[in-house]
Amino acid sequence: MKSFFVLLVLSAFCFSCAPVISNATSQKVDKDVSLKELFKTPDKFVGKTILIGGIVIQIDSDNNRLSMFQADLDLRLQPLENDETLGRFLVVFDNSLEKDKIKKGVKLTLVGKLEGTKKLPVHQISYNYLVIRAVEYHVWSKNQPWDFQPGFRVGVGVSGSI
Amino acid sequence: MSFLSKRNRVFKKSVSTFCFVLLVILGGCAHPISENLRKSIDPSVSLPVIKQNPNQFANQNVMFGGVIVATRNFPDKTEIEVIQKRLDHFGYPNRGDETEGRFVFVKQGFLEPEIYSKGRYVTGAGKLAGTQSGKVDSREMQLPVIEVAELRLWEEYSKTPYSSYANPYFYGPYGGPFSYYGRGFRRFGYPYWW
Repeated sequence: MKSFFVLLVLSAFCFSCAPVISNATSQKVDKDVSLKELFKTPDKFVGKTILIGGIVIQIDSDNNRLSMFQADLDLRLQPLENDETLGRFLVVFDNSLEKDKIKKGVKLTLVGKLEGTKKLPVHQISYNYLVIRAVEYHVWSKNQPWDFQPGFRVGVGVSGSI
Repeated sequence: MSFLSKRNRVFKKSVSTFCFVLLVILGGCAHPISENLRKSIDPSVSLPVIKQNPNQFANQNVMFGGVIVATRNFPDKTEIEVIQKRLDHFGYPNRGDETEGRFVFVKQGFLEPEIYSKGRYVTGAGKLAGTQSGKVDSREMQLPVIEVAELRLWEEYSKTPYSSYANPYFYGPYGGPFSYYGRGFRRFGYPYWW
């Protein structure tokens, strides 16, 4: 009975840690590609398969395309909202976008192939977006009960008695 | 080991642990602008004073903060238009309604406008580089321009690391499942009116 409960608890942990990108797709990722170098000199990495995540800025349903800005990924491959980014990129999908799931501000993690770059206007400039064709992606839902960043925190309390 | 020397050892360990914890807490309260830059700033130079005579303060270091109104990208720079708010001792902008006006932070390079977005709080310091025209509805005004050397974007309240289980309102005003006066009491069979 005891071992049954131990197995039950362990399996709960396993399910909660299930990979967001399948193992088969993860193995296709070119692990020697640095995202920093990719955003600096994208032409060197055309054709490479990369793992990248970020936040959705705009949806172009007519072209099955998203524009996003990159964000670092945590241990679960969830994009961090830490106000840091290497730059913007476009994601092109072969199929129609999941309009009910994918909206502005949504976090997305994907594996895709770098196809090149494309200039699009951002305010007064012509911004050079990376263009990535999605192979597999995961949309992160907002407000999951377990959706928090673990960390170390210290608190100070004051107590008294009457 | 005698009782006294053991007690001294425990006391020393407690003091050093407390000092470590205090350092960690104080580290989190550090001012976002470096001490060297802050030392070069004259705190009496406020926005109204600058607006009256902007040329007098050209190239002087100033420090302001507030809430972002707009972020504009240009080929070589990014402009952030800010509604000024008073800064507290830790450089954090006050969240009240009082303001001395608007100003513009200018930073070389590209800052992501979706991150430096309207409503975010920001603190920055740098050289005063004159003024530029701005508009609020149909009213034209001259906005002080600061070429920012150090800039701090403050975290949004909504981006706290807590899950809904730690949300103080998730379980009502009496706390979470493990709180002394919350459901934990009921869970372990105590009457709920305690």
